[in-house]
Amino acid sequence: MMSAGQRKKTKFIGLISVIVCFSLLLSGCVSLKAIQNFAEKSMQTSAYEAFVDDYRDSLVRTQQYERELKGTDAAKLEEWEQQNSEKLNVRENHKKGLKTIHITVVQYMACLATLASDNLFTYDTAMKGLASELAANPAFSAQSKEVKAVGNISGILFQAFGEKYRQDKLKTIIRDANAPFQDLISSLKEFMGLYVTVLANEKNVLEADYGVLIKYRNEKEPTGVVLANSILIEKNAVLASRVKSANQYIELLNEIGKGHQHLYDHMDKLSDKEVLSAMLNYAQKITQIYSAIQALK
Amino acid sequence: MPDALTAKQVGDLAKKFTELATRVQEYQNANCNSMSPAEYRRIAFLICDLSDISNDLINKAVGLIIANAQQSVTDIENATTQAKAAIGHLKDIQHTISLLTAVVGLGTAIMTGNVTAIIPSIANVIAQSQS
Repeated sequence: MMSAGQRKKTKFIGLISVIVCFSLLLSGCVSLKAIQNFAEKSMQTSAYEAFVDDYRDSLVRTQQYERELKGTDAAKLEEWEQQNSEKLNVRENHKKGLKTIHITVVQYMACLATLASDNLFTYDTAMKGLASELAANPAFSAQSKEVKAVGNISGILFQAFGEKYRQDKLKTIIRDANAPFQDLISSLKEFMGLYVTVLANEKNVLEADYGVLIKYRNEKEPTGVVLANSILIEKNAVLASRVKSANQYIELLNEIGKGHQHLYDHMDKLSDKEVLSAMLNYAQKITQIYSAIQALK
Repeated sequence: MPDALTAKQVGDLAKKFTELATRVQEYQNANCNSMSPAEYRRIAFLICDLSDISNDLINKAVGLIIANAQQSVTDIENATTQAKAAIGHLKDIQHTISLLTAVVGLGTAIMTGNVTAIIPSIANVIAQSQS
């Protein structure tokens, strides 16, 4: 036969167990590290800044080749230089806007990574500390075991409800952000496509300039042709590398957009193994593409 | 430039001019030996002009991209603020527990009359309340 005290204790432990099980079920209690990883990899895209700077600098180089080609008709040159300067100013002004789009995406991803971090909070440790302090208090010493138990259980409960709150917030944020996020990724891709065209323009003007130079030297100074050809090959190689790098960056933006879309499509089951596995794949692809871009530098 | 054109349409036009310049260049290279230097030079000027038009169109397209992105930038900034608030809220709960722990520690020190423990407990409460 159990004493009244023992029955009370058994009831207490049973009730606590039910609450804990319910809380664990409610929270899912699965690590969201794959989502954190995806968001972190997506924000490490500093190569973009160099593309934006080169969007303007490419025009400087193109104008220089044109200057060499078109010669020095003083009156027209002044007017032409004035126009060139205005076009460069337009690109200089674009740099801020283009970088703002990118920074907005990076800051959003940084917050998403923090919210998905499993180390964001550790209530159980804090609650164990509180339980120890309560147990040491003379007013509670008679029930110190229960106080410790309540402290430990409360830690788990806080963790579980915190987890539920975190997942709900992640879901809300992903739901609200997906449409504008996809718009910004499209804007970045659209800009990168135009940057590739800017480089193609530079290549066309470069070849026009060196083509004339080589054609004229062929008749007057054949020895200079070898040097001009080797400079042209070198400059073309640099441009080809930039184009490759820019195209890979577009591919990287595609993966970021697809990854976020996947989170949106599965926002009701963010802690599912399939979703987390897919996010891990996106993070790995982004890392691979980014390493390839870095290797081209 | 009519306002009705989208950034994509303007960008596509720019790409067409670039393609045209590339085709002219290919023609120039293929017929290099049959051209006089003056003819060759005129074609080089034409390539530059086509590339200039493309670059001008790109300036317009990028301007439109930036202008069109403004609303999405604001929307994502709002989502980021929302995320920061959620992170802050989660950290606040943890902070409250830490503060509560420090207060209980102080209470215990006072109730036991342990004078040497009271001062560090007060310091702990102050530190927690300021963190």
